[in-house]
Amino acid sequence: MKISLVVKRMLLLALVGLIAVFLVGCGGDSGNANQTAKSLPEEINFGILRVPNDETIAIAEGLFDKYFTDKGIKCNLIVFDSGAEANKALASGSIDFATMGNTNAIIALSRDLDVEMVWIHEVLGEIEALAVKDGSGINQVEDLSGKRIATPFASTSHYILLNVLKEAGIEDQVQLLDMQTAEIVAAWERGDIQAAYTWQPSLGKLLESGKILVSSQDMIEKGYITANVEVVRKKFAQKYPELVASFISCLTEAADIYRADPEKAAAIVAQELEITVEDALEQMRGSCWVTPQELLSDDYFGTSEQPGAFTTVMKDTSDFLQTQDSIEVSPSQTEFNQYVTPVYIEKSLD
Amino acid sequence: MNFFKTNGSKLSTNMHKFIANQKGKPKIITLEKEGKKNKVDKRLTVLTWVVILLAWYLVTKLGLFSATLVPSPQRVWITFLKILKNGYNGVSIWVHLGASFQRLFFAVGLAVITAIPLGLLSGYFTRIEAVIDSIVEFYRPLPPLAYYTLLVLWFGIDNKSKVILLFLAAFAPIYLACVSAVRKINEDYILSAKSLGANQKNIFFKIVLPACLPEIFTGIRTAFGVSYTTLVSAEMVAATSGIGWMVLDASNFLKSDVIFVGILIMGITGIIIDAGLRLLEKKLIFWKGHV
Repeated sequence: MKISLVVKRMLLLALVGLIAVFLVGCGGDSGNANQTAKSLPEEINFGILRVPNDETIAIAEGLFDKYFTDKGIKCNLIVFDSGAEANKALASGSIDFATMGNTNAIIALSRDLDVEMVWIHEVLGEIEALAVKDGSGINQVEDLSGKRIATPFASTSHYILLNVLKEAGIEDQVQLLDMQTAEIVAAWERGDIQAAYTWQPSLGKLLESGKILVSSQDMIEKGYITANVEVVRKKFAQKYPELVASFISCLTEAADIYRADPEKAAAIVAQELEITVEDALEQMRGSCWVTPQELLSDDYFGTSEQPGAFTTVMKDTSDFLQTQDSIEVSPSQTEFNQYVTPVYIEKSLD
Repeated sequence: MNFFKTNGSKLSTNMHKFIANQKGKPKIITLEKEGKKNKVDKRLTVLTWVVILLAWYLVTKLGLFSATLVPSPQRVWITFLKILKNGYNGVSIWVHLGASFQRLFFAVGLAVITAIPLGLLSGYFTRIEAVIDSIVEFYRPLPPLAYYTLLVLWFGIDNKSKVILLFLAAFAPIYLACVSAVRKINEDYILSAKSLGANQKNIFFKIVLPACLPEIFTGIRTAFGVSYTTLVSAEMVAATSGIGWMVLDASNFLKSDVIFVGILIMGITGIIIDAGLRLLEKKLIFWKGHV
């Protein structure tokens, strides 16, 4: 009886092992599920943010249908609160494209995720800001000393906030709280926090009973640039470079709607994000939408031969994140020059 | 009784339960056989962990997954030492553990104080049970995350909402254990005591409470477990310290080595807490399995 028990347990152990191996195998397979022998993938998974940008317009206007669905590719849109969650999905291979702040794009590179950065949706200006509550008695950054400030950690807002505090010399005198954007609004309304650095549309809700102390626009002038960018899985991009280029064309077409007729674009965004048209317009004016031609200039991606200024912005931001212990290794300038790739923008213009 | 005392440490809890369930007629197992079985069991446990560690080592050695997905054991060890030495985010690991345990013990303590009397009363008086039981049955299967957002809205982002979440998690197991313990008391004991002239107070303290204690203790142990599993969710919103928060913050930055360290620390401390409770149980309830 004793031996049979041991044998039974051994068998059970082996079975558990087998199941584990099987599950791991399944996990690995599903990541490559769309890499069939066909020339086009069956579906593409997009990680998106609910912010007023070109991608939101493209989705609302059905441009994804034009560029992808009509070719027989199913588009799955997965909404993330911030790039931090998108990064987790990328790490597991669950999504092919992801919109995120450039800080999270840096974390992705530093953690060796197999991705590359192919697009800048918008350079963040007034769309992200440090809001303080009316009646809190906070009139300048120095007044924040001893206060609690909420922000989604690892985001562009977090990065700019750290620099705002550093410039004011009070980075050790405040308590930062890591919260998602919706939680920030709830805590604000409850009166738990009196200051928060966040982005639109949640920023708009805070400003109903507060004012902007510092915005990312103010910080651009001091040399701290942040942007929402698009990263794509390298394996996907290598296999379907023309689809990445189509995606960029799709976003360009959407942004052209805004450039040609801001009011119309605002109406589209307003409906999609469930905000008023005026708010949408104001929020969209809070960021700088860049054309593909501008992106290929020295100020941003540059060309394949001559990397542009944004690669240096990425490197500087990365070095700062390293001093904060947010990332362990700051990738080299050469790595960033390769990571921020203009190839697909060039291809989309051909 | 001596039989259990000498061999107690080696007896599995299942064994305890088994005997407790077979009230009045414990199954006799010879000491010798028990000892041998335990040896094999222990070896199997050790073997299982050796296999897991080996598989982990091999998977990382062969580079089947990127280091971001599965960090190597060596790397996790180095990170562990680093966290032990420098803390996480400039805060010592002991402060993180302290913050978490403060929340945990406070919540479970609160649950013990409230759930035991309510549970015993519910078991005793069906009218009280009619009031409380359905509420407990309703919220018990709810995933904590489903109502945590509400708790945050009602009680704010500070410790209060976190402790309440953990308290709710701990309350149900203790309450249910108490109700079922009262139900299981052998009616004969109470009747005999009554016929010998014991009053209600005596019956409660001399018969009901001692008879229920073993199950109450099992309830408390379960409560600790459930609370502990809820800890990470509780520290999800606006925490700046705590072992659960450490894991969540690390996941924002894809620091999987820190996540591994956090999970290992949680697992080991969980085992230690449970072992401590079992020891306490053995000291306090030496009669377990003999009622």
